[in-house]
Amino acid sequence: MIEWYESNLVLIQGTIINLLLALSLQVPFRFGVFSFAGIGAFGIGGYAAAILILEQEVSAVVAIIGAMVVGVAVCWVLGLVVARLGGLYLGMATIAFTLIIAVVAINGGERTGGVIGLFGVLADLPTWTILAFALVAVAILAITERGAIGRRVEAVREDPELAASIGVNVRRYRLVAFVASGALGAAAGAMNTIVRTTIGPTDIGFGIVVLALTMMIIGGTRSWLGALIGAIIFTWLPSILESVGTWQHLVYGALVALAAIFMPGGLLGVMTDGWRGLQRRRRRASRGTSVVEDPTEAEAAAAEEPAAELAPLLDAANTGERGQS
Amino acid sequence: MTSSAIVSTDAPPVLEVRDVKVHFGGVKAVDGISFDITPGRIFGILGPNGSGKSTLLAAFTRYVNLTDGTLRLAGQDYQRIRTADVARRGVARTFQTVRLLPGLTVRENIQLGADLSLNESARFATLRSSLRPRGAVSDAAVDHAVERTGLNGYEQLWPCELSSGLQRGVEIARAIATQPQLLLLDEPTAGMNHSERHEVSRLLRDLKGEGLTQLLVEHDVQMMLDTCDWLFAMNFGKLIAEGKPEDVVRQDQVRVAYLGKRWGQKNA
Amino acid sequence: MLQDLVFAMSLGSIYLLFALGMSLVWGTIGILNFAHGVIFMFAAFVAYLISQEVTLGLPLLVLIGIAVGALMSVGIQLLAFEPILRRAKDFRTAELQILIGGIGVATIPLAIAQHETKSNPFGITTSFDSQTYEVFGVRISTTQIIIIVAAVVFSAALAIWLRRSRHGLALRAIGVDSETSSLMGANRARLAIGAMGLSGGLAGLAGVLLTLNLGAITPESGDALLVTAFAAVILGGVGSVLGVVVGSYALAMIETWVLVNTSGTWVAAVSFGIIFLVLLFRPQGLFGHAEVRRT
Repeated sequence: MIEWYESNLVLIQGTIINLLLALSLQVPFRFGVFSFAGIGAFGIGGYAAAILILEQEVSAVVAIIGAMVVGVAVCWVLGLVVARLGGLYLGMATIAFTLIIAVVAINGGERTGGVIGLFGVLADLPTWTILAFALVAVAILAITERGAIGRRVEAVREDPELAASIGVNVRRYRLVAFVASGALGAAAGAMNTIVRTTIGPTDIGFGIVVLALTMMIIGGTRSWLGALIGAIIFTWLPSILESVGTWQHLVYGALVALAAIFMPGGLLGVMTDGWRGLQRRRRRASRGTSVVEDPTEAEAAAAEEPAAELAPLLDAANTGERGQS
Repeated sequence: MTSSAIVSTDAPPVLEVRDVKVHFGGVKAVDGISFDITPGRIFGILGPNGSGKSTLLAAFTRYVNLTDGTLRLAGQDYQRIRTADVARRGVARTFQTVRLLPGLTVRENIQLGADLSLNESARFATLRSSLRPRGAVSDAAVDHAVERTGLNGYEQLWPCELSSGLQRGVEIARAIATQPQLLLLDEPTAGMNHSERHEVSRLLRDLKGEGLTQLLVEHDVQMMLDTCDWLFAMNFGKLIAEGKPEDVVRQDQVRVAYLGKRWGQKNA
Repeated sequence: MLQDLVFAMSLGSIYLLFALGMSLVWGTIGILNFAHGVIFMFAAFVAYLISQEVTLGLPLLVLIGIAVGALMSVGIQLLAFEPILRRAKDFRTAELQILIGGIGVATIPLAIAQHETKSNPFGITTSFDSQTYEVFGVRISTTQIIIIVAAVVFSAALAIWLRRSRHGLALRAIGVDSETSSLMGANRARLAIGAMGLSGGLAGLAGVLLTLNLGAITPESGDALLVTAFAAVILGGVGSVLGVVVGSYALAMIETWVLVNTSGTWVAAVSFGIIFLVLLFRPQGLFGHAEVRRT
């Protein structure tokens, strides 16, 4: 066990960091916010931690927390700025935001190391610290998937107008999603930099967007569990399938495309749907009859509607006539 | 004073509508409407498609902004408050098309309405409810709403397993669970058969018996005659008639608006 | 100064050829095709592979670019976007799935090109000999002239086609109200394939022309162009041909100005800044219409 742990330490750390990265994309999706800003925060957090460690010589934990503060601040402002946007516009605006982080890093001069990036980011970060951060994050997110908060998040995503009509402040929920994605992304970015001791503009390009998207889409968008499934698969898959090697991106892209077409809920979605289908079938069997009424009956009712709804008006008109005569 | 004063009791109106206009560019969806909604009664707005009924409801829930005019809820000006706060002021609504969340059970969908009261009762109640083990939630407001709408036995099902009539019931139950002062119903019987409409009409009258003020938007005339105490008729964004339901549907201009010129006049 | 203008004009023309197709499918059938950038690149890449075997003239290379672009675009529509549209429960969900699916699809040709070229820039060898002329001290090459002429001709043709032809009208009708127009006989699926083919063809044309103009491009150049084109479309207003034209040239002018006046690494930030400014202050773009919604 200990031997296995030690020989796979890098992968274990990678899994947890990838979990946080996937969550930074998944949280806004679950809130109905189509935002990639969390991936931008990954870059911001990575650089913030590197600069804090190199310039201030802070400890790893302080660097991570500092990076999270920066990530939260930036995403909060971004969330306020793009509050009016929705759908594709928001998606593209936040993709542009994410891609611009690398441009800023290239132009950052000595502080960000320009095109080359920063090296020798040395700080002691034990695995249990990474795990502790992830556990706290997952615990908080698990709460937002249950009870009243869970129901409201569901409403904000599926039907914002309905959510507002039952007293949910949709804008606030969306802003919370932005802030949370900033914190998660920045934490993942900071840990990634510290574990690898380096960060450069090429580490925060489009590849990281695809990786996060792959983990989230394949795992499932509805729950932290989906992000965990995705993180485990895509951290361990490359090391198991050596042959994938150079074609890694191609495989990921193909999987994302296939999942988007055939399994938009991800693996977790397939499992939940299967479980619910089973429940339904069992219920139907135990009742003997289907709860659902014959659909043709409802259609027939709808079809007779126009005539039926006008009839009293004609009647009223006639009685009116009689009354007058 | 508007003529609604005829049905008003001494109690102040729940909702005062004064010269309300909602224009979208050149389209005058609502163009100068005034009336009072007095407590404990069912009011109806009758009108053909596109007459501005739904826009008026959207204005009452602050989903669209007024171009002109004033709205007062329980005597308080309510134009500045946010959409989300409308529900907290005691205004609940149902939608023209059923809007249930497919990922939540029937009971959870109704609970969404009851969650509203969590804001008032305790600051951390929302959080507490998320920390409770699943399925252990019992909520008086939800039980009441379930019982009222006759959804007992359906609570653990998914919305897609219900007939469209029952789905409408869940929609109403969710609104009732917010424990509103005023319930706005946007065509609650669309697509229903006769017996289902009858059920809904009885439900609304029962709720009135409990003191719930309601505003019903419909184009099923029989439903309006059966249910409402006072009827407004709308066309082209304006009120064209109001009064006791049986009187309103007799008026020429209502019949013309509804049945077209030929039919309306032939019968006149 | 005048030299910069020529540069900006040819840059803007490439943006225009690229963005025209993107705007066409987005404004009509509501598809924001994230694979558009990679179609642009891959068309040039195929032309490069062929040019390794046989040396071709400009017309054939251009035809290859258009054909590859159109085929890829139609293929993606048939294999990915159409199935998503068919399966999604509403259009809002479909839109997002199409964007995600597009990001996934886009990585496939990119990975192939990166693998073959080892991520190095590739150029097209051709028998076509681009001359450089000097007019009033301003240098302009044959390729640049062709690019500018192609951009102007194709946008004018597209604008006229959308206004005058039966298919163009049907496409525009779908953009306004897809449900009603299908009831009135517009075959959405077939028109969508046509629009995607046209859009891909334009991207392929842009890819080949830009590669010839610059000498070589990298496999990743499609990604950056995608964000730029998005900015141009947003600036002009989604679905408006005139908007794309103005947006593309305006963006190219600003970028050229930044290129001349700063160290050049900030150019990529221009699109980003424009996207944000437009979305904040005029979300419908310069030539778009504010949506009128009635319930």
